[in-house]
Amino acid sequence: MAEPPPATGPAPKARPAGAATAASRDQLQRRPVTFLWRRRRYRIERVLETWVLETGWWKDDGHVSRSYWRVRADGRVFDLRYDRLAKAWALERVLN
Amino acid sequence: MSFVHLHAHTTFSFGDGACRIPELVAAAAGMGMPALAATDHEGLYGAVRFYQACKAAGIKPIVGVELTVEPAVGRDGRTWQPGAAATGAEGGYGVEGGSRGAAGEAGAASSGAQRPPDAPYPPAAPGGPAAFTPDGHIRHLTGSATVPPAAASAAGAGGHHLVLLARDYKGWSNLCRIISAAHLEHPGEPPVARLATLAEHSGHLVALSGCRRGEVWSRLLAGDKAGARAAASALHEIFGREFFIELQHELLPDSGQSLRALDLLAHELRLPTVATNDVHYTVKADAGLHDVLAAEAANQPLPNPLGRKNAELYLKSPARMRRLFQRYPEAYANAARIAERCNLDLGLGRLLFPAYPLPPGETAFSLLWKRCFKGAEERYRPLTAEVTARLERELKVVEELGFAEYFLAVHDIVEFARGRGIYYSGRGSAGNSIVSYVLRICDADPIAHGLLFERFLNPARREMPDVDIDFCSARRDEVIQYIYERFGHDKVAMVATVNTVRAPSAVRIVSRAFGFTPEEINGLSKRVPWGSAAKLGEMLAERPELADHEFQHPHYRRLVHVAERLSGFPAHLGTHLGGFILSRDPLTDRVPLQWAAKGVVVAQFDKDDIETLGLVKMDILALKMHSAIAEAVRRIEARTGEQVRAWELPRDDPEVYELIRSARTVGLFQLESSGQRNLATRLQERDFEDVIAAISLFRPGPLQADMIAPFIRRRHGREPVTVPHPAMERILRRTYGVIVYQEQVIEVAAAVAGFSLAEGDLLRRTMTHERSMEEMDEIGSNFVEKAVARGVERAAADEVFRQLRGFAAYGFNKAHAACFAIICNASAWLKAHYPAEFYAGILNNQPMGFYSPRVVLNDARRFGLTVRPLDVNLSGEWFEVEDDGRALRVGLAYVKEMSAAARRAIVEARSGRSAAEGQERVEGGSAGPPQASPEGAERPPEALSCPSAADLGGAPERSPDAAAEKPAGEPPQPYTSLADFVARTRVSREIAENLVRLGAFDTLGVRREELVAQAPLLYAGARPAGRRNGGAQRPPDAPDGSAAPDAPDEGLDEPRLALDEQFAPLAFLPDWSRQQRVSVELELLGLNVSAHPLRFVRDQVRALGVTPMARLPQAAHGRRVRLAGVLERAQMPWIRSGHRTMFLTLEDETELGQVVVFNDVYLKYGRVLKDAVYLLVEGELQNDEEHGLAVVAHKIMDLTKVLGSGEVLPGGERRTGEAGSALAAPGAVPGGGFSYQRPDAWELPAVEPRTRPGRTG
Repeated sequence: MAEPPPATGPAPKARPAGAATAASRDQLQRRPVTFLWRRRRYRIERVLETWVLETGWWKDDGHVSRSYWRVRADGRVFDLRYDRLAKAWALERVLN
Repeated sequence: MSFVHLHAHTTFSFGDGACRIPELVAAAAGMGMPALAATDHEGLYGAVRFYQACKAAGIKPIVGVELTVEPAVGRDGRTWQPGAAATGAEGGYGVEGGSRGAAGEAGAASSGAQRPPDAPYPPAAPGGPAAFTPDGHIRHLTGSATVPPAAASAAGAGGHHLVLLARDYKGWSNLCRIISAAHLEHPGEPPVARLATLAEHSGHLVALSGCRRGEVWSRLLAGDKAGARAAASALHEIFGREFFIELQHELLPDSGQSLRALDLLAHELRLPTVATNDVHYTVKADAGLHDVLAAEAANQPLPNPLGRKNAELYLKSPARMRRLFQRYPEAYANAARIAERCNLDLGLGRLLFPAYPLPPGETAFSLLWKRCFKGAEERYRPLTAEVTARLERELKVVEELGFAEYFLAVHDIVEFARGRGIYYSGRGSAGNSIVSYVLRICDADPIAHGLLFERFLNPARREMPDVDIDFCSARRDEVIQYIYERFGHDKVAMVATVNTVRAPSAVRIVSRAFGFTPEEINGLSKRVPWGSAAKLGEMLAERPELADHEFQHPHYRRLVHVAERLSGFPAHLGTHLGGFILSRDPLTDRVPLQWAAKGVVVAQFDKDDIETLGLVKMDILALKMHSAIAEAVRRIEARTGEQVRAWELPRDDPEVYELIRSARTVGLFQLESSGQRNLATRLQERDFEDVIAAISLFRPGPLQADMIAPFIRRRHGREPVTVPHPAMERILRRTYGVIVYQEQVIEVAAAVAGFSLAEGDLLRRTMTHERSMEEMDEIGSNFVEKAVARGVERAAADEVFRQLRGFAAYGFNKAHAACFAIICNASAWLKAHYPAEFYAGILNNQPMGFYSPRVVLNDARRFGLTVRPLDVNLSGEWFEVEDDGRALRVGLAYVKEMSAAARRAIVEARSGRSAAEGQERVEGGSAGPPQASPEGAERPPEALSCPSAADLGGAPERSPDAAAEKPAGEPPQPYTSLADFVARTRVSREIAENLVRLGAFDTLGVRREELVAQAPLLYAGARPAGRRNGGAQRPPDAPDGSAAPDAPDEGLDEPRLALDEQFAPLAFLPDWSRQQRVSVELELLGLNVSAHPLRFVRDQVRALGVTPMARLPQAAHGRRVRLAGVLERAQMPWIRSGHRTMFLTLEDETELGQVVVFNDVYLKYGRVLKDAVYLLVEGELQNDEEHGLAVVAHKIMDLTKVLGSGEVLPGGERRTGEAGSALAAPGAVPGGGFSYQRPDAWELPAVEPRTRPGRTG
């Protein structure tokens, strides 16, 4: 049944980041394995959550298609996103 | 075992599912899934076709439903418990388990309440019949019943989702019972199932806790963990080990959190889990379709509250599901385990006939035998050996197939109709049977017409017999009522139809979702043809009338694309026009039922599904022609004393065939269309067999196969009649060597190749279906070898098969045509001998037939009848016959805004009865003239719609004008003035003004121009209609000042009407022109009574060189002519060449004419046809036996524009002066148009061609 998700998701301590980043991806597991932030490469230890945003297709300029990964790396929790339309990675936020 | 999706919504979730069943099943099979479930919302609407698709694809079908169920935990925190109610029978709310309550209050439900005080919906409709019988079966309400109160529906909203899967047929039956109870007890959107019902029918079902709207998950999301536990426990109580906590990974931000919470709860309660994906679209790319459907369901543009944030609810592969649920392997594995335990067998192929009550000592067959031979003695005198042998042969097959009870049931129904004097006729392939004939189900003698039983019942194929019966439209409800009573309310229901999304509705749905304004939506959709949405782009590219449509702009490309993809989606469930299911067992054991409009109970399956399930479906159809004939017969008897037996009229009356040959067939059953009129001029019918041929030839199949041309050429000797083998001569003699009938295909196969008739029918069926070249060659080879083995030359056998191959798929069922021809004969006889009564019957039973009432009335005038105008002192409720059958008087029912109560009051008040006697509120209705009324909304008085009692042996009935008869001894009291009329009838102002404008008071001595000005003054003090009384006009006070007897006391002063006011003459007001009068007639009656609209431009049209249509028969073939007329109909039948050809029916003052528009001309002038009402056509006259009478158009123009602004046709005037101010604006048709409802010229061309035409019965 179609039902909107509740406004949960990111943990409250999130700090916005939004910086463009580069991530390498495990094609078999279909998940990121490393990413670059502040000139440092982080190896992803664990994927905590994953979700997808796909909306706005009916608008000429509002189409959004993104995958999100909440990952643990180097003891910290990051939200990574991949924009499928722009084919670009970004660090959405750092949660701790 | 691979993963199996157990939760999937097909398009039969009506607005919440975008999976087309064939695509969904193919995708599942392609992924290697061994099984698949369909779980649509609140019903099994698509279950049968899903079951069949899965079987065909080689995977196991799992049938289920996602129900809306009442909460297991009430708002006060108490939890539902089985047996907790006072009675202990059903269950109720007992222990508090939710977050609100305290455990100490457990057992409070023992106070007797089955639900908590704030239960989300009320019990079954109060005051109405209970939904269940004492023995637990669904109580079916009769036609007189009404849908339970809307309040129940409204309050029934809410509830939680729960998925149920049938493990086997017993589970299927339980699903049917639960769904039926939910719909019938608590109809609404959505219907809500009671937990007690689930508990009662939980056997053989698997239950899954559902999606976010499932009670368990939704309570967790709300933070009510205790409530979630309580709900899960309650459902576990009901379903035991068959209850699973459903885990869905929707890839939303909170999905992981939800999965953990659900899994933890399941672990704590020791409940098993199962992984699903709540599939709503087969592939990701179709998520947009689901978004659009959700927007439509929410009635809000995108994004909407029901919209998804992503596109993850598609049919994911087992590998992808395994990855998503890698932390929950047990849930993943359980999906396959559940699938292994679901083994539903719907038992397709068995036939489930209704039980027929038998007298002691009789079997169904012995009783049928006796009834058949008794009937044969009545039908055949003397009873010949041929008849006896045929009857015995058919009865033997009926016995072998086990159909005796079925025939007894059908016979029982038609005997009821006969006994009540209700006109009816059987049709279709049932007419091929002598059993049907002697039981008086059908009236065509199969021996006399060479009809073959094997076309109806093939002993080699045990298929459900299909008997269609048309009943008098006005009295069909009596038959339906009888069926319910005779066979049991729990064993009868109506068949559904699945209405699908077509092009205009697809455009509207997508436009709304995209947020267009209502004005924009109307603008975009109104010009979209009524065709398949899938062809929207094609239509935009090809249709000239769409060349300037907004959709041609790239801005709308996405909208058009999405609309195309919605093509064929089920839009809503409708009710079949007359399909009834008769069952041996309570229907809810086998099919789910629900309410439909008008308070009837309908199955959730259409006729094909019902047939697939082996249930008996009988078409109890309504035929307006029966009502018209019945009325004509009654009127004839009343005026002349002659008792006409419509179905026993001579079938060789020369006047009948003279009428048909002259093509003056407007109003005749089956022979009135412009195509049939054209055919009549070519065929020149001479006898009854010719009428059967005419009915058969002008059909999609024969038209596609171009059968008419060789038939006509051979009939008139311009082409030799040849057959490839002498054995075919006898069979094809009456059709000049052309294979026209399906029965002929069977006979040819038997005569040439030695097939039995049953084998011949199988061959016909085989060739009717789409076959590859190789398959057809194989069939042909078999046929030829058999023929050669019988001594037929190979070349001749090849030629015979070539002809069979060419015509078998296009032939028409002769029995069907023969049954229709009898009705046709009756209508023609009535028109030839009693035209006034005939036309009255036709005009009083609209809508029916091919033409508008306006054209029918004009035809009556051309037929020599005088048409008399509306008159308040002379007009009856309906068209009446006057002047000893030489005149027709326009009836009150045609007046716009006239309600049944108002017209009755008008007739009764002048007859001498008190206006207050039995007075109802006589406010105007909104039904409008009958031609615009929905089926059944307007009916002639019952006394006029029945056949003669003596005719059919029924009880005596009232005379036709019984409704208007005055009580003995009371003289008529004609109205003397408008004020007198208003005072005595108390009709609304709208009705009074409309009557004035139509000249209904002209004979009272005051000009209508003056009355138009005075009428408002009569109502000057009256409150505007409809403000406080549901749209009803407050009736004026009686002349003596007393309040109207039925006037509601609204506590307000009701201004008196100025009924006694004397008005000064208004001689200065100019007379209305005749054009204005005709405009008013067209606007308010839908008729032109005083003159034809073209009368006013007669000279100008003549100056254009136009030939009157009545003179066309005398004009030479090939001559160039010009026609001017009103566009009455436009048709675009499919023909074999595939070229688009349009047939226009025009009407001028003198006659109807047919114009043929070929594709090139259509492409050039299609835009003119879109807007114009009056056409000027240039073209070449066809006027010979081969072509008939028609004009092939070369050029089409809008007559109004040709005549220029100086000439205004009726319906095109602007408001001018005092009189003009009373004229409503005519129809907003550019160039001057009518306000009557002209058949939509663009509707018919959009009808999709049948790929397999010619199949009936």
